[in-house]
Amino acid sequence: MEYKKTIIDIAALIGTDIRSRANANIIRAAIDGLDGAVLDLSGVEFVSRSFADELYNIITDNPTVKTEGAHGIVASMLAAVEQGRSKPRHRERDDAEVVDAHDMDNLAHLLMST
Amino acid sequence: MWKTRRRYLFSKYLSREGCINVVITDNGRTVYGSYVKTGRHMDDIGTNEAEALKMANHGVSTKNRPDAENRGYGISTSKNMLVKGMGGAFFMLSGGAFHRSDSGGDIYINLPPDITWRGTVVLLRIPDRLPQDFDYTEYME
Repeated sequence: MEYKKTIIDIAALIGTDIRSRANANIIRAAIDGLDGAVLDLSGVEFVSRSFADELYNIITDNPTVKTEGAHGIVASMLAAVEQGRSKPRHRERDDAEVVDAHDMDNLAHLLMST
Repeated sequence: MWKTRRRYLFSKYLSREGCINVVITDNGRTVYGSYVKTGRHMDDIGTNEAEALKMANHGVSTKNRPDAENRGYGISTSKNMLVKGMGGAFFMLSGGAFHRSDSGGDIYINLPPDITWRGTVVLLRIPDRLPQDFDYTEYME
């Protein structure tokens, strides 16, 4: 017998504009003790990257929990996080100097010279 | 200005300069202190606080999961968007190190011994007019 998973409306639970990692703890509390869940993102209009990353952690750590209904920027943000996890991070080459300022005059000179 | 016991948030609109300055400060353990606390990347940083600032600005995080490089995007992507996308400027002061990033380039400085902040200060200089083709989604990673 297949059990129907609990559907959690994330927009109703947290809001339509979700920022900060701490909000993911609300989801953790909501799925605690459930035998699987579907996180309905259809009502969410925006998520920050940090929240998306924490949401990805929840799904990774709880294989019976899935998301559905992500659209627009929410879908893009989740895709960016997933891509970041699956590929080595590319960093632009940075030739910026790391210098030492010995005194205030030296500091002023360094700040004016770049 | 808005403040709590450990953090300050301040902003001001400078009409003549055509920008909004946003300042966020805390009295935490500093960027360098975060690397010291976790013991990560200390071979590359040593005692060089400005080097720690550079690593943080490149998204080298102390908080990654063991199996993934999932953290460290906040500073690098925000700064990239602000400086390259919006034409603004970014400044960071943490402990005894300072960083500036603007249209003239980047510099990381170990400050003279008598200049230090026990925590981190970030200043965002945000232009009040953006390029016509600015699209923040281009700076997502």
